[in-house]
Amino acid sequence: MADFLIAILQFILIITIAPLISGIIHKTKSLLRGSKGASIFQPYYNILKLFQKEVVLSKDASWISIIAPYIVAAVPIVLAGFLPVFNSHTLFSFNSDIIALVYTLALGTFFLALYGFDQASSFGGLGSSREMMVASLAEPALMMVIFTFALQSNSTNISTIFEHMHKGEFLQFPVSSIFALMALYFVIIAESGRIPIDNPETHLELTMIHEAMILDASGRSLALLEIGSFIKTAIFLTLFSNIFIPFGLYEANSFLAIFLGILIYIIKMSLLAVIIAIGEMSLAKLRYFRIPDAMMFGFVLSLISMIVYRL
Amino acid sequence: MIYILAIELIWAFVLYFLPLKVIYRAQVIVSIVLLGISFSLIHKVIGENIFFELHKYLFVDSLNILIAVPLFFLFFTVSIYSIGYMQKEVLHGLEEKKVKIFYFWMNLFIFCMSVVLFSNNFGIIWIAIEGTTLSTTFLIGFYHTKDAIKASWQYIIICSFGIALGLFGVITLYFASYSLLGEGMPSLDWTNIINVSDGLNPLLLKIAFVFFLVGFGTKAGLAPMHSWLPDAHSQSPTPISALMSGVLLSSALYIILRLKTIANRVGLITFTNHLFLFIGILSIFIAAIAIIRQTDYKRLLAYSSMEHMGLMVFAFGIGNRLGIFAGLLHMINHVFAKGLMFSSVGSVLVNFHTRDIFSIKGLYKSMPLTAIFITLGLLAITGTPPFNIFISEFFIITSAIKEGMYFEIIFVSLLLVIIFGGFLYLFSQMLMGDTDEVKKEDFRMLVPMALLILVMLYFGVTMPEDFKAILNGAVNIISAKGV
Amino acid sequence: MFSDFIELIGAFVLVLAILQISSDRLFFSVKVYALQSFFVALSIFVIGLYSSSNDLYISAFLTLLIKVIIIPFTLFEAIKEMKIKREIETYINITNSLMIISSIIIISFILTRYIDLGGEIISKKIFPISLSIIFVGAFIMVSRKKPITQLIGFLTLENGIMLAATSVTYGMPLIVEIGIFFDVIVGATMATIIIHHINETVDDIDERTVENFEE
Repeated sequence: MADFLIAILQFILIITIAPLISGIIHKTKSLLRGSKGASIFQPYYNILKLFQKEVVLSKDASWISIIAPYIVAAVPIVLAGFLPVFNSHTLFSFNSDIIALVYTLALGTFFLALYGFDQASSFGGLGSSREMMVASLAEPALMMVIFTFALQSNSTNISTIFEHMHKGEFLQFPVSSIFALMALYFVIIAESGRIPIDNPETHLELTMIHEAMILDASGRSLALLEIGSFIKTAIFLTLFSNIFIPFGLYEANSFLAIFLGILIYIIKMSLLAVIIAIGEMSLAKLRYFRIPDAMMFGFVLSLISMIVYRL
Repeated sequence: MIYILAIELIWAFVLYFLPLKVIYRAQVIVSIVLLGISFSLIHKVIGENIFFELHKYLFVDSLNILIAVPLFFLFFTVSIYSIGYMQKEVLHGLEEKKVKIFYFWMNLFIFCMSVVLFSNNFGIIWIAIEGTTLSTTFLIGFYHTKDAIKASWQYIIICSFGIALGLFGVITLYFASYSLLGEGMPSLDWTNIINVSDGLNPLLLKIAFVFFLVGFGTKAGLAPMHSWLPDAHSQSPTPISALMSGVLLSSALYIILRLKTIANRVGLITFTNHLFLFIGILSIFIAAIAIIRQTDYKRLLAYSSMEHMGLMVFAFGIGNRLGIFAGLLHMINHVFAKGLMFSSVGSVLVNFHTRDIFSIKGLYKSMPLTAIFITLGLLAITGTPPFNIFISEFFIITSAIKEGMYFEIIFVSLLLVIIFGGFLYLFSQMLMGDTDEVKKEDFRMLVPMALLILVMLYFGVTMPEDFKAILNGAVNIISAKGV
Repeated sequence: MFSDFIELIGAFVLVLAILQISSDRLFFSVKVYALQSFFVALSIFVIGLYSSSNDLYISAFLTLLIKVIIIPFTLFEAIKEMKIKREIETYINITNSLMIISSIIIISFILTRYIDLGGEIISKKIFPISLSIIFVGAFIMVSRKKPITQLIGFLTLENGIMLAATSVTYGMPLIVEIGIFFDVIVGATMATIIIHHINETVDDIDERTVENFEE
């Protein structure tokens, strides 16, 4: 029973913290630019506001446009249940396979792309095709990183991998791990549509990817799509933080341990958000045609990680 | 040997302060002195003796003296030749300062070549080989035309690349030897490595050998990395072309031979032989194809060098004693033949200032003596009796037949026939025909050619005892075990 | 732990070589080269600290001086003076290059897998890593159009060799290393001079003239 409660708690934690990451990134960037910036809780207000608004649909939109936002939001939410945050008991721990997690996430991306097409506006299609390209390019690198860790811990179960990492396995193959880290960072940047792959702040037709797809969304649909992308980013960052910053995954069930776990988790996520923000501030967005090169570079990194580990 | 190196190095810098006329004459004297010293070394190493100098950093054995003496002989003829050549160039409008630069770099080049040959240490050999690249780069770009600069760029980048791979080979060799010989310089000494060669790691030596073959093979003008060779030879001043083609390529091959000897002793003999055979035949093949469609006579000769290097590598790859003997003999013969060819066509170049075969006609009328030398050289280099190249090619074919390589030897002979035809056709275009022009022939350019042709005839009809002993000693060094 | 650290530095040198392939700006390439040389120098220095050998300090210092400061500086000046287009042009596009490179890296790791280096070695993985850097450098040389990028490819290759020379064991003999440095600096200077001359005689290095090199 206690395990179940912990699992529920973890599940809720991921979902609630997801918009905060975006808020922290925005705040950090504002501060770095020298302006005051919106509160870090602004994404929550945005979502609440959007939920109160009416959905306006294009006259050419089909039923896809009605169901897609729900699927896009539901997939990451369900997957959040797969993911151990501060304890290895998860809602779906019987089957929390990391490969299943990654490819189920792709379902969300797929419906997002469909949504973009379905709006029948030129931007939507453009965004969708770009998004699919980036997603397909990020895939090999992500899988290679995952295989490296799966091989290291002899399992594809997320909880097992995390436990393995927390036992100090990270230090056993430092070179391999550091390369995996860099590769995974590339993947996260690509999947969550941040600079230098995509710029989430502009609505400039030449550069946008993610924003182009949801350009026509409004009201509840937009809120759901935003939630989907927030949680997706949160899932990736949780993966990242639990593999590479292996503190805070406790076996103990005491209140103190849980409290500490939550605290450390929040600190880790905030830290990563700040790092991403700094990264964004110091880089310029890549030209669209350079994206394959960047993703390929990420793939080579993950490949080196794999090679150094295996060969 | 220390004297050879010292004289070369000092002379290279001293000449910069001397007037041009003195340089011309002193250069000849210096080269005679060098030739004399190298002759005196012969008697110290007959048989299987090794003679050390300078804390074992320098050494002479039959193998390197065999290449060094022809080198200094060619240098001597080139020294005489370049007087006439450079005077004509000065008349044609070349600055005197540039002639000095030419002499400076040429002497530095010969210095590096001597270090390559006499050094006992693979590390120093590598540095010296890189030194030859650097010292010839400016010589290739000497005329400062667009093509010359392009050729020198191509030369420095391709050769540096090849030599860098060679360095990796040297490092791999060090990995193989240092566990037996300890850290430091001695682990790269040829005489030390060959003593402990039984204990070396075969896999490491395999890698080292491949890198040596590709790396130093670049300098030797062997097939996959030969593309610098025709441009560099055609653009550089003719004396340098002769030196590069005659001795630079042979010295690079000499280094590969040294490593092959080591590799053979750890049981890689089939591996090294097969690689040699493959690269040799490939080089001859590419050269043959390039020769028959050539329109530039210096490029033609460059490809001919490549063909002969391929032939040597083929001979060393056959794997029996006769093959190695023939390969070494061919290496020496090629030095003289290529020296003669480059000297004679160089005279044509300074008089006509074109490298296009089809725009030169009737050399028998305009430059009769040079034309005769060209004809003789042409016959020699394509392997016609009674010249020396015929002998070595004959030995190569015999040894291959002895090993039962019928298919290979038929293919190689066919290519040699093609090259023979190509040479005869292209040079007859230049030699025959009618023309009114009569050019003045400089005796200082004819004397070296005459010297070279005499040497070639001499080695074509007889083989002195000392020479035979040295040659046999060298064959023993290469095939000491297992062959 | 020590060997892990050297291995890590070696891996970074490899990553920078790969970054060199994916760079499309000349200045960026030169910067990447300088950073890469810095890592090589660091590796030599750390090995020097560990084995307290003075030879390695000299090597590390020379690497720092020549490859991190002098050569990049010369290249920067050359690029500025030549007024050429500062984009890198390639025969093979960057994505494909990276794919080819990844297979080359795998091959060099597999090739050297069963090598027993014997003796006192620091890290077994430096050997394949430097082998792959050499191949990457060679690949840059053949896949780039501009002479100056070919030169950078050569220098990258040379860094790989330097890494092998110093970091697999405790360094090559000092004379050899100094000779290598000497050759590199002379070679790089000469190459830069020639690039200048090419620029003078050919006006601008456009694609056609460079393609003529390949005949």
